[in-house]
Amino acid sequence: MSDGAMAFEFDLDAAPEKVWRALTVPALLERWLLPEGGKAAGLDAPVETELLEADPPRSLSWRWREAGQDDDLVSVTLTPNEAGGTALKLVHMRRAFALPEPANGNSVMMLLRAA
Amino acid sequence: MIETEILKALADPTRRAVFEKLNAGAMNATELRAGMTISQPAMSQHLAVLRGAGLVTEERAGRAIRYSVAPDGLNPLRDWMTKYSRFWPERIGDLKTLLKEMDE
Repeated sequence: MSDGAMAFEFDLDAAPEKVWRALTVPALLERWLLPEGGKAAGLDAPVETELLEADPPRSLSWRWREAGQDDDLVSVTLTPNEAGGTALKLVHMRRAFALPEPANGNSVMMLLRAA
Repeated sequence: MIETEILKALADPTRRAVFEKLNAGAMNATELRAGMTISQPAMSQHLAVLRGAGLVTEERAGRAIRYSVAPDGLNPLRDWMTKYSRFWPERIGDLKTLLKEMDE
């Protein structure tokens, strides 16, 4: 895990190509992540997203901005798994993290646990 | 937003070292500089950034200023992480449901 970013990994029962459609076709995306108006379930404010990079059906990244908040970066990587499905890896980071790795390698996450 | 200020403050290795040192207890700037190759103005600037992010507080006693860790300084960052560590697994749960309903 890079400095302070949150990383998640999920196994999905669908091939990467199908998962890719759910991630990129607006009519599908709004059914699980971003309903019309951008007010995602579980968040206080609407989210504005912008697709920054897309390498179908392997990886994409979104600029992710909750109204009134700073820009975040959400990156998704899809890898076929042994069961014929997809391993989905998601990394969510604040833009402040897009800095060079500190030389001493201490992470903010470690610091949070220690504090 | 304050989370970003916290992260920026802690992204610098020197500031992180200062913050970790203060976790052991309150110190003045001279005590903080002990064992570090850092000028006094640089230390003052790092402390100002840490204070600006709400991570460090200062207490004046006459001419002496003692710095200490703000007890709730990391809370905004923890809240942000708590929110999204719940958000993404729930959304992926919805994605799994959608994948079952989609055509191949």
